[in-house]
Amino acid sequence: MEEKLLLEKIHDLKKRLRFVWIVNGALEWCLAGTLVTLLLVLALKLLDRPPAELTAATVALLLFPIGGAVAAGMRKMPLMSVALATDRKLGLRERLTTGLEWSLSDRPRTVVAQSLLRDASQHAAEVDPKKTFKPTIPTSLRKAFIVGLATLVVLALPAWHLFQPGQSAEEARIVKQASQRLERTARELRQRYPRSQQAKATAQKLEDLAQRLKEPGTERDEAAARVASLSEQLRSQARGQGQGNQQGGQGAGTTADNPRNQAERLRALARRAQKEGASKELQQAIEKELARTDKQSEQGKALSKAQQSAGQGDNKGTQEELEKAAAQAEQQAAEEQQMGEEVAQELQETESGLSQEMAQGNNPSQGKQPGQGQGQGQKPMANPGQANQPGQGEAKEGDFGVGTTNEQQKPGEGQKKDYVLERQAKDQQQWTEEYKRLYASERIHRETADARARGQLTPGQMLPAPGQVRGAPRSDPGVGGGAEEVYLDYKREAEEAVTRQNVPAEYRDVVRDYFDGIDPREK
Amino acid sequence: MPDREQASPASRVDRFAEQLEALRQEIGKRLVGQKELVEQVLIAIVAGGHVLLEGVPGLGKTMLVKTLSQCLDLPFARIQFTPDLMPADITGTNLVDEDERGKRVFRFAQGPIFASLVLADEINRATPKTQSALLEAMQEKSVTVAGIVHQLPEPFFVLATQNPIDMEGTYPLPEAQVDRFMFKLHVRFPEARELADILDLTTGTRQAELQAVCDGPTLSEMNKLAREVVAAEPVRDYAARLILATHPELPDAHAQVKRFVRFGASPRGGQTLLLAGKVRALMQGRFNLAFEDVQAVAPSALRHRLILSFEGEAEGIKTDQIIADLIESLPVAAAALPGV
Repeated sequence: MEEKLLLEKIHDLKKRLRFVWIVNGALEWCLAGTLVTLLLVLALKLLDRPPAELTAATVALLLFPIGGAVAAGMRKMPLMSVALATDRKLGLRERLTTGLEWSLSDRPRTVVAQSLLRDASQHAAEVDPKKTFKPTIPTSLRKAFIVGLATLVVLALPAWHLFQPGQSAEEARIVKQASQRLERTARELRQRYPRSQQAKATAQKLEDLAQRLKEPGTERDEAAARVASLSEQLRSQARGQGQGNQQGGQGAGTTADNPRNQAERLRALARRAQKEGASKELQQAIEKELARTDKQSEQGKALSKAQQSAGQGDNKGTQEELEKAAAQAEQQAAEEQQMGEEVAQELQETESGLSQEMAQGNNPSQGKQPGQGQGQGQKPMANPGQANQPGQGEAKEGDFGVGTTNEQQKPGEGQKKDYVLERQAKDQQQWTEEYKRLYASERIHRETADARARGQLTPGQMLPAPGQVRGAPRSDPGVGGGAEEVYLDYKREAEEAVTRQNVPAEYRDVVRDYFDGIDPREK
Repeated sequence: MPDREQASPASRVDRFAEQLEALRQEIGKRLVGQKELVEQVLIAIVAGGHVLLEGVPGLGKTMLVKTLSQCLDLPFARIQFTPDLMPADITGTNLVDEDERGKRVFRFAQGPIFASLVLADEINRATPKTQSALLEAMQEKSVTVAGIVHQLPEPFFVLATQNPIDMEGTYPLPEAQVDRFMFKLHVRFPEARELADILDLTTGTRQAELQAVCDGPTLSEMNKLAREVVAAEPVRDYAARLILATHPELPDAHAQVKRFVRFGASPRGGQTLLLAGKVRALMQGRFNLAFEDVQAVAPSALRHRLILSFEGEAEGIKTDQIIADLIESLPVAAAALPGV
């Protein structure tokens, strides 16, 4: 009776334990499922696969727990192990295990064995399988949640651009590259034309556009359209036509007008001075023009002189100074037109870089090494002194850095981009000089001293210099004494050592015998 | 004792516990504190084993054994081991005697070993030759003199004492001799309260009267009952693995064992683990051996069976420490179910 009760209870416990195993198995495999799913999604995202495939990858999240449950369900579970697990869980001191083993065996039922079975069945009757074995949330599942959450957060960061629809990492990189190019162009524009209001206004527009391109989610096509729009706008402005002309004037503020218009007005004033002389109306017109002009510029100085000459009634001087100011204004107009064209050209190249297919040449990380451009008919932009003859393959060391395209230049375009070329030539010159200084063949052959490239010291412990080797033998002359001299000292040391507590008694005589055996005095 | 054997197991177990409790009470009248020591000694006595008591002088080793002899109502003999003690002084010898017809014959005069409870005081002071006189007595419970085997009384226990310090003029017990002791027990120094009670008890005129609460047949009955306690396979397997884990030459040996142990425990150690564990189980009212019984008796059963290496001795490693680490690191169930 007791045996039957015990067996039934242990079978109940087995069923319950099987259920718990299945649940725990499914939960435990969630970690692997989460990691695999995340890796799959990441890989597919980096490969720019469509969203449908990304969704399909999440099936792994379901498959793994199912696999874990199946594996747990198929695992062997002997009754003895169940009884032992119950004993350990409830602190029954192996009563169920011993009772089960005895009841399953053919051993004689002694009185003690019967008492054992009775004792075991009594304890088993008090066992509730559901309270004994409960599904638990394994530590691995908590880890899975933490890992999954952390990865999702990292992937969701704007810098990754991974969860932005329709934009791959490569596209984001191209747009970012275009933005950097615009910023650099604006910077160089300010450096090249420090006093030009037109240059400042254009640089500001370029910087504004660069900032807009930097915004997360800006697609390549959209960026290209914006760059094209600005390019067209600047080109129109440079030609002094339509809306661009007016905008240029507004952007320049109140102290400057369109230089070409101003030149025409100044020519008209010069003609009036020749015809009418330095009348009061003329003086007022000159003063008005002077207010629109930078007084420190050559044009402003000429206008000031014209005003003075008009005040003194010097008609000829007034006319000459007005002509001079008109010439200055025309020169400024020409310069600004040239600048506009250059910037427009730069923008056009930026736009074409955005519009193109992702060609290998656009990727600096995959770029060619310096010197590969030679003889390929596709001359890099940065070859100082060769800018007027593009595409002839004369460049020996190309610049494949940011702002460079693999487009073939048209003849004459290099002239408009001299400020870009200057910058690239300067950088390249530094690299070349450094390289030659270190690795020139004549130097390597002639000099044998070590040279080191410029670098940065990293923090850390200084390594020992040669000659400070640890463990080197001492050159103390006292070491080399005779055996007779040192023997007694050593023996005394050994005697003291063996009397210490930490030398076992049975080994003390061994030590003494050893020193007696090597006593040089006996020889 | 027919009535005893016919009694129900539960009542037998109850009586077992009562007997042991009575013994504890009587010993407690004379010996203050040392409860763990007394319990371990009682386990060894019920299991039919010999005990080696080790402690500095004055801690009550001899007192414990003498008290035990009075409580057990067993023939008691004390042998003071000295360097000049001879084997015949222990086992007895043949004397020339005359029979009724005046014929001279050899008559065997029994030595002090022919007692049920033998106190071998300061056993390590005798020479190895004399110590060896105990080998046969302790294992076969017999003595052979002049080719004649003399059986020792049943039950037969040797309770030996030795002093761990003052090693001059002593002869460490050989491994074969040490292995015959079921337990080696350390007698610890009493705590402050216990020491105060000892001082009070021993410096006055009052002397506790002891009663014999247990006799030889009762002890034999208790021993038989303890042997009937059931040990399941996982527990037997655990005891075996524990013994094997003390052997440094085995590939799965614990790192500490490999480093500090020269020889591991013998199969007698395994027998001791099970037998002493069964007694402990009965003392707790159980009919089965549990892992914790094995773990509880392991230090006493194994500490003298591990032979330390030179490195272990030089570094002052204690075998108790190694055994504790083994118990800590060795899983009780070889193939435990996962997720439980």
